[in-house]
Amino acid sequence: MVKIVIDYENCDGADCAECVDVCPMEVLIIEGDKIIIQNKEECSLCEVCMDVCPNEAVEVEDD
Amino acid sequence: MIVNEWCMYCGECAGVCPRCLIEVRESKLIFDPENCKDCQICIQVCPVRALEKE
Amino acid sequence: MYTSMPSKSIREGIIKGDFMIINTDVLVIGAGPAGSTAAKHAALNGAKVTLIDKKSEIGAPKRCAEGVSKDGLAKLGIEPSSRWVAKELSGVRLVSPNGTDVLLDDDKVKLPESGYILERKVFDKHMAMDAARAGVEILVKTIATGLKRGEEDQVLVDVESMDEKFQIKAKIVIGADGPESRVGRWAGLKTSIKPKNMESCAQFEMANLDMPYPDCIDFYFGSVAPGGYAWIFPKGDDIANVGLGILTTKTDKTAYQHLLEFVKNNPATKNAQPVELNIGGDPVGGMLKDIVADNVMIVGDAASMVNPLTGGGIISGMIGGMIAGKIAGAAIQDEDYSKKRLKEYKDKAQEEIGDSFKKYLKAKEYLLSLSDKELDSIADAFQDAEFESINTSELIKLLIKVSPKALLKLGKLF
Repeated sequence: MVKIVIDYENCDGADCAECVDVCPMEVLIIEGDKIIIQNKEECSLCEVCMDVCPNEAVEVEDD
Repeated sequence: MIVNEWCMYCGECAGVCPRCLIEVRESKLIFDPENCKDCQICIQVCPVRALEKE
Repeated sequence: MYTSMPSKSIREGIIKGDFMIINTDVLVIGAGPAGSTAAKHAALNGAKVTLIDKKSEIGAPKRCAEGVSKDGLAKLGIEPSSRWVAKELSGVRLVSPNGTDVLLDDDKVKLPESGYILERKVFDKHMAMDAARAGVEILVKTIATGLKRGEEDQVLVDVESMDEKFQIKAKIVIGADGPESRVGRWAGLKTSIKPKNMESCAQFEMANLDMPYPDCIDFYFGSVAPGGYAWIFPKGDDIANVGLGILTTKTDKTAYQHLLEFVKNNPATKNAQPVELNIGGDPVGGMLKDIVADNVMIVGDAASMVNPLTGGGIISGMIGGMIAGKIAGAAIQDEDYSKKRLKEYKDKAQEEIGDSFKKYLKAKEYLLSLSDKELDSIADAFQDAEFESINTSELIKLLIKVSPKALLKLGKLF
């Protein structure tokens, strides 16, 4: 199972959305001013979201 | 990642690689395995299934 | 060790073997139609331009069905030539999964890819030759392997040409390096294509076809090509590009496997034989948002300048190239290569290309939402319609009658 955790304390939300732009599977999307996770099972585990996040607020893990 | 002999160097794999790890030359595919997270999107899009997981 | 090189041209430097950093105003990477057009217009606007292509032959192998519109060529100021027009066409035939077809005459419905079928091998070379005549220096079998910012507001591009490795110092780099573009990514642009926006395509050029309408381009919709469509684009009386594009998110088979099935089952191709196989990705997600950075612009397929509905990108890529080339030339005159200056390209491309794609993107979403059954019933209704007197809005009205969700998906777009 893929585990994706967004640390909302440190996430800049829709103002940043770098992870949303790069996610190849559209798992990370914008809802209102927040970044949310949809269709988690689609995640390809490429970890690009982790690379681009300026605040290290995304964590992707394959359990 | 294994590049099979029938690869036609069309570059579709390079276009979808989220980490930009594939360089396609006229008759050679150069892949950087070190930074690959094994997302396998490249394998999935290949029109002739020339790429394979190692 | 790199030493500064006084040679007049890169080729002279290669012959002399004194390597080297070569200076140029504008470096265009990729000599497809978009790159050659960009190079030509930059040179015509006074810049010193170098055009490189990684392949030994510009224009081959093609990764394309070769359709362009007559209006598109005219807009670019290009006179059609019998040397690279394989066939002139007069209409479009849309075929639903059960074989029901709808014929549309060119005078009544304008489609972006209908008009001429090109011989890309010749066409691409012709465009590069035009660039050469405008003063562009061209290097083939020469690949860019990296890009970094140098001093003096320029970029340094690592280049390999056969056994030579050198650097080209350019004020502006135009990345026309196709859907697999690396130039944009080197400059920090997000040009990776999501799998749901990348059509995986396979095509045979075939002979001995038996085409009922050899003057029409054929589109086949439905499960023959999940997430895309199949096509037969005639290049002669019994010659055609027979291909399809699929979304690999919608099928477990490869584009090639779908192509083999299509060719086996289509009456027109039952006895046809392939003389060429082409494959490649087609970015159909609409024009990219970020296509300029300091000193860098991306054009053509690299910038997803592709009609999202049809997948055609020759004309739109060339228009993008023309805009980029002209602005590169002007920016060189102004000695300003900043992102702020080059943003003019992005704005103009958005206006001329990107905005028009929005309705096609909606139309594609609608089309891909239709089941084989729905496609058949739409085709059925349209087949009986009197097209002589019907305009686009009446077409849409009829469509909504047969397929009510068209109203929701297409709204008042057309």
